[in-house]
Amino acid sequence: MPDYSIGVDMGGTNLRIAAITREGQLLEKITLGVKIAMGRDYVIGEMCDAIHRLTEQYRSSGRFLGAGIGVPGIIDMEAGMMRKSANLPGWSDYPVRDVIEGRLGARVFLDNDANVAALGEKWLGAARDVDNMAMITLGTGIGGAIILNGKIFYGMSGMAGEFGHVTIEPNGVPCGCGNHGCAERYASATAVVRMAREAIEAGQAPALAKAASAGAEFSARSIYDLAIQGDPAAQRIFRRFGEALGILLADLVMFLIWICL
Amino acid sequence: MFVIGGGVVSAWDAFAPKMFAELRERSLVYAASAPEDPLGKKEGASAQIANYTRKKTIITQAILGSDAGLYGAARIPASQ
Repeated sequence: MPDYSIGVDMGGTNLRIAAITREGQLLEKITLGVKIAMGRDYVIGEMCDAIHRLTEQYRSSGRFLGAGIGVPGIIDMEAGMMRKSANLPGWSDYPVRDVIEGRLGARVFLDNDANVAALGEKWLGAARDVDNMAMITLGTGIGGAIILNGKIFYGMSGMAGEFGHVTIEPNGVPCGCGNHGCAERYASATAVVRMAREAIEAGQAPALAKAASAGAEFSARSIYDLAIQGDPAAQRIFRRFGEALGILLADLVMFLIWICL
Repeated sequence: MFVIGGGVVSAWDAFAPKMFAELRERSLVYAASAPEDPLGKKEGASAQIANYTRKKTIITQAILGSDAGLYGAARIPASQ
């Protein structure tokens, strides 16, 4: 059996852990809910327990090469520390890599979640045939990553690729980062729900109002379902989403022309 | 090449037409280097790349979906 490593993708909702061979074959995947409210020690404990389960299971298969962990936040790559994360309160300036290495007794590599997604697409996905690419991840917010010559470009401070906080509306919606009109305030799951609630409050969206009061989860997914069913208010929201993303991409294409061509 | 991923990319058909229209209007570089069919489905990404790499600005959906981060994270120790 071939050598394998563990990949961990920690989001604001799910903690996903997989054993993957050096050749890119997925051996097994575990998905857990992230109980952020239980604190970082609890979450790290669950992560390490799941990694142990996989390494025990594949112990005789091949050499365990270590674990790579993608987390939502700004990472100090040298120190292996989470510097700041909007989705993980209490994790700032915490030595995540060293703590997990200590518990696993194996090499651990910590990186930003958008960076690891870009590496995945570069390795086996849409960008496998190119050396230079940029990735935009649309989730709760907007993440971003730049790959140059096949490697992640971190920039001077390690914060290269924070595309979600590019200004697209100078006097727009306030953002948690302190700016106004950031791209992720218009083109993310959070933004879709916000725009839907605003349309409901303005009395312009009867179908959205009905969905919001139905008791089921009112999410970007349910608003999208209404859009594809032809609801005009839901369609307007996704056109606004597309407009915002188009403005962001227009800026990125100009800045990152060496990636384009 | 620009790859767009994350969970909300599943709403591609609802936002991508407006996204490309806006992009073409606002970016001289994109307007001059856009593929003929920028809305090509994700399974067409490889074909687009084969046809246009180094000549066109390709903006496409991620292929690996929510597993992209898992593969990328696992790639780091495997490539050391």
